[in-house]
Amino acid sequence: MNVLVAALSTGLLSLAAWQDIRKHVVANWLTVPPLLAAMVWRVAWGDWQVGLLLLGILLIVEVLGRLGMPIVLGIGPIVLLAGWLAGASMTVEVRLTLVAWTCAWSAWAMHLMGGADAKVAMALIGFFPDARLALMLVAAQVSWSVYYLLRRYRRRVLRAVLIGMLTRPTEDDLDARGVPLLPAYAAAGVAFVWWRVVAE
Amino acid sequence: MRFLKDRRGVTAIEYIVIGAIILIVVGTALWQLAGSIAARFVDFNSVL
Repeated sequence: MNVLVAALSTGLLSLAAWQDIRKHVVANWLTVPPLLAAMVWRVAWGDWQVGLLLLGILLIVEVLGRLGMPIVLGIGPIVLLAGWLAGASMTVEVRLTLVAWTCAWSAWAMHLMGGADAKVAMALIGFFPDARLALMLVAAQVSWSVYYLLRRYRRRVLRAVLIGMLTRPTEDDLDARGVPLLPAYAAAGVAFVWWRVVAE
Repeated sequence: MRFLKDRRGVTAIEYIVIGAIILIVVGTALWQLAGSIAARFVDFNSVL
């Protein structure tokens, strides 16, 4: 991997993480252009399925929003679209991207994750469709979540997780109780890009 | 555009842990199932 790409990724991820820690929101110029650039990059390399999935996601959010229906209803059609596209793709990279993007977007649609977190995760996997990065992202977010859970609930962690299993958060719950996750994603992303630079 | 416009950088951490637990359980079950199916195929092959 090019050192310039790694340095640019590090800068953008660090800035996004910093904004997330300070304000719990991230400016759209830090998340939207990288996501769209990742999509264009993949389509330019022939991975049209990735472009079609993002188009489907944006379209279904728009249609459901205009009809005044909950966005969560879009998960079924998007999972079906991703499954069909995965069937039409020959490479592991495309399938990994389709699965990761569907998971990240579904988490957003269910109010489990903010839009900035979902877009950063999607952009990272879009640019670097590597199963090791996906594993690093999952490991980082689980470690970060366990750390925050222990800090917040102490001995009542199990109870909090059990209650979580029985309920689904609303947008207000997410705003009130959500914690910034981008530092974990940024750490995993930065570690991955520099590891690739060193390995190559 | 609602998805692209959402600037929130927060996550419901309880559900990340639940998701990880489900992933481990389902992953382990599928791993076991794949192993057992592969063993059956090997047995079937040796019978043939």
